[in-house]
Amino acid sequence: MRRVFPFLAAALAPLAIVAAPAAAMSFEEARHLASRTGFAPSLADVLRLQEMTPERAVDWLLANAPATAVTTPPGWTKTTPRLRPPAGATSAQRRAFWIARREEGLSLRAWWYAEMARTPSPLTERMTLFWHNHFASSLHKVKSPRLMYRQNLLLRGNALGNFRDLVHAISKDPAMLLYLDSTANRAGAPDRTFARALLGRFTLGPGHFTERDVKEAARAFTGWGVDPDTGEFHFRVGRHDKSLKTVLWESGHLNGDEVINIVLEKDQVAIHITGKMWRAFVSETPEAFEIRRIAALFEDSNYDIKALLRALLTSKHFWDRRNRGRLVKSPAELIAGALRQFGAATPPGRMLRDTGEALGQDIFAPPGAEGWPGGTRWITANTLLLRQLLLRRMTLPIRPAGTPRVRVAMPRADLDRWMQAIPARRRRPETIAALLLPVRPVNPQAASADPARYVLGLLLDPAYQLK
Amino acid sequence: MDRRSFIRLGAATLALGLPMPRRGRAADPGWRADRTLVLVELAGANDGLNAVVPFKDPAYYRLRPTIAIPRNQTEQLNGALGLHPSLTPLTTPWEARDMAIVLGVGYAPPTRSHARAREIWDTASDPGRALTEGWVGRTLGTRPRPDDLIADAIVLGGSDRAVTGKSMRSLYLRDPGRFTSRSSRITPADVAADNPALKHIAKIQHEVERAAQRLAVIQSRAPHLGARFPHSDFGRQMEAAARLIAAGAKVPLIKASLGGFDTHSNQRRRHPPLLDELAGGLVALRAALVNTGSWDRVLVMTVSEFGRSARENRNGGTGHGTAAAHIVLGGGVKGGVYGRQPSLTDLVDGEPRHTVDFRRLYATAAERWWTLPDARKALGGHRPMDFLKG
Repeated sequence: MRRVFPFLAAALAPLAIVAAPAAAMSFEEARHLASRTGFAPSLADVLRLQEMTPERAVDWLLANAPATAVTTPPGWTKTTPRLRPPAGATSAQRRAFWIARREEGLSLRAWWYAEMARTPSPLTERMTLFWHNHFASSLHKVKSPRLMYRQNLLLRGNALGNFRDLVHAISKDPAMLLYLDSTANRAGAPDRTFARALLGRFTLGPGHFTERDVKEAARAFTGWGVDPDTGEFHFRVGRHDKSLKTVLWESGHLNGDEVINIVLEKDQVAIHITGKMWRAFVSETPEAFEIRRIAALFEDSNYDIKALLRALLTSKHFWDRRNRGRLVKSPAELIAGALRQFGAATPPGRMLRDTGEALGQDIFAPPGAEGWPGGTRWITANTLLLRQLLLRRMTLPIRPAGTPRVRVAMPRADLDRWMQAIPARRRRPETIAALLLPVRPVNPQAASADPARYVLGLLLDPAYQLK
Repeated sequence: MDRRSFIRLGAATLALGLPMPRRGRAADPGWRADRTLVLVELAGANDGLNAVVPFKDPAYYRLRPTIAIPRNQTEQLNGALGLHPSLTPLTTPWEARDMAIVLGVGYAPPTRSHARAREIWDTASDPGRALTEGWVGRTLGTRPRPDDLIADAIVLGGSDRAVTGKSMRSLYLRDPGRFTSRSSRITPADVAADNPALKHIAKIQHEVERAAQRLAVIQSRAPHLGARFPHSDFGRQMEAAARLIAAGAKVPLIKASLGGFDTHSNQRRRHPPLLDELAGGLVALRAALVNTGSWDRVLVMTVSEFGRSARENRNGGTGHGTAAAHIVLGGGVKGGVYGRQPSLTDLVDGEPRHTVDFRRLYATAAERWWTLPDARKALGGHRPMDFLKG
C-alpha cells in the first residue's frame, strides 16, 4: 500500500492542494531518486530523501543545487596564458608551452572528478555533465585547458538556471567557438558550422530547419569571434553583415542574439531539450504525449531548467516501479560514484584520463560534436571487464604489512571500513544490496559470505552498472 | 577430444557467435592462421634509448648526464649497443639468435599526446589522418578465417583498439586468475526480459564468463610449461599466453600490456623494475614455448606510443620523444640488429629522427609472418623488414 501512495501523489501533483497528503517514500524509491540525480548515493543520502514525499524530495534537491563548485581549482586557472605559442618561439619554447598545457589538462580532469566526488550537490555535477555532452566541445581540439575550465564554470553556472541564458552564453564561449572553427566569422565569408550547430543539435534538433536558414543565420553571426592571442570573445562591428536576413520565417536586420531569440520561440526547442533530458534522467523511451506536456511547461516557464527537471522527476514515468535500473551509468558516473561511495582519494589526472579513455569517456574530450552516444553502447565485452577491473582495483583490501607489494596506483578504499560506517541494524546483506543496486542482483550470492567479499560481488554484478 | 567436451565447446562457441570448430582438417585460408603474433604494449612510452644503449655515442652521455647507463653496466650485444642491465635475461634469446632489435622505430611528424599516439599506433594511420579501425582489423580482418580459430584476437591487457573492426572477433581476458570466477547460474534469457539495459549487460557478462571459462579449459590442457613466470600482472598475461599457445589454441593475435613507462621523473628508480618485469615475462614466455615445441609458430613484438626525449629533464626523467628501439623475438626470427640508430646530434626539434616507420613492423607481421598477401596496402604501403626467416 505504501508503494502505491507516492505513485498516486506524483500523478496527482497538479491537484496537490486538494489531494490527501501523500506518505513518505520507500527505501527503493528514495534510492532511485538519489541515484538518478546524483552519483552512487550514500546511505545518508537515501535516508534523508526517504523522510520526504517524492515532490518534497525533488524540491529539496533542486533548492540545494548551487551553481558553483566547492573544490578549489588548480592555480593555473587564475593565469592567462596565450592560446598558442608566440610566433617567434623556438622549438624548445613551443615544447615547453604544450607540455604545460598538457599538465593543466590532466589537473583539470582531476579537479572535476574531485568536485564530483566531494560536492554536497551531485545534481549540479550531473547537470553540468549533461550540458557538457549537449554543448559538446573537446579539449583535444580547443587545446586550452583554461578555456575549457571557463566553459565548465559557464555550464555549471547555468546548469539549473535558464536555458535561454545558457544558449546565449555558450554561443559566445571562446572554447565553443574554437571547437566549431568559428573564431573569425565575417561578412562575405560567413561561417556555417556555428549556425548549423546552433539551429541543430543545440536547440531545434535535426530536421527542423533548412540549409537556407543556416546560411542566413550564419550571416547574422558575422563579426563574432575569438581573439587568437587572448582567447577572449569579441564582436567586430566592422565585420558584421548588417543586411536583411530571414531565419525560420522571421526577417530583419538580425544580429546573432536576435537569431537566438527567434530560434527559442519555436516549440520544437523545448521538445528537443525535454526529449534529451528525458533520456538522461527518465528512460530510453520517451513517451511522446508526456514530452509535449512537459515541453510546454518548460517553454511557458521561459526555459527554467529547474521547472523542466522538476516536471520530469515528478512524472509518473520516472516513478514507475518498472523504471528502476534501466539506464546505464556513464564512465564518469561510474568513476565518480565509486570515488564518492567508498571515499577513495581522487586518482591523478593521468589515470583519470587513461581510465576514462579506456571506458569510452574522457571528460572534457567528447569524441565528436554529437557528444557521447551513451546508453547500452557504454557496455561492450571490453568495457565491462575494464569497469569491473576498476572497481576491484579501487576496493582491494588494504594489505597488512609484509605482504608482497602490488603495484596498484589506483587509490584504494577500504570496504571493511565502509561497512563499519553503516549502522549495525542496517548492515544486512539485503539492505546493502538495496543501497548499492537499483534492482535485484543478476548473480545472487550466499548471504553468509565474508562482508567485504559480498560487497565486491555486488559491485561486480551487472546490475551495478545501472542506475 | 571426447564428444561431451566437444559439445560443451560447441555450446560455448555458439554462445560466442563463433563458428563450430570442424572435426578434421580446417579449410586452407591461404595464409598462416596457425601462427601467432604476441603484441606486447609498453604503455606510457618506453625509453628505448636507455633500454638499448648506444654506449659508443658520446652524445648519449652528454644529453643524459645523470640517467644514462654507463658502458660497463650495459650487457653488450655488439660493438655499439648494449642492453640495460635489467634486460640481461634477454641475452639468452639474443645468443640463441632468435631475438632481433629494431632501432629507430617511430613516425613523423611526431605527436606528444599519448592519446593521439596510441591511436596512431593502433590504427597504423598517418599522423595527419584519423582512422578508426585497428590495423589488425584492416589486414587480417579482411581475409577469410579458418573455422578452427579460437578467436581472431585475445586481449589480455591494454587497449583493444588495434583489434577493432567489423569482422574481428576478439576475446577479452583481463587479469586472469584474480577474478572471483563464478559461473553464471542465470542465463541472459532468465534475466529481466523487460529491462533491455540489464539484459544487454547480463548477456555481455555471460559471454565474457563463457569466454573466460572456455579459455580456462583450453589453458588447463596445456602441457607442463617448465618455466617460472614473474608474479605480476604482466607475468600472468605471459603465462596465460604461453598456456593458450602450448595447448594448441589457434589464435593469430594475442595482445598483452605492461604499463608505467611514462617516466617523466626519477627514471633511474622507476625504469629498471619495468624492464625487469618485461625481460622476466618475455624470457619465461620463450622458455615455455620452446619447451612445449610451440616457439616456431610465435612472433613476439613490442609496441609503444613513442620513445622518450633524448635529453633528460630536470627531474631525472625524460619527456615524450620520438624514435625508440623495439624488440622482436620468435622461433622464426633472424637474430640481429635492424634499422639504424638515429643520430643524437642531428636532431629535429630537439629529438632524433626515426629511421624505421613503425608500420614496417606491422607489415612484416602481416605479410611475412601471417603471409597475408599485399597487406602493406592497408598499412600506408610500408615495406616489411627482413628479420624473419624464409
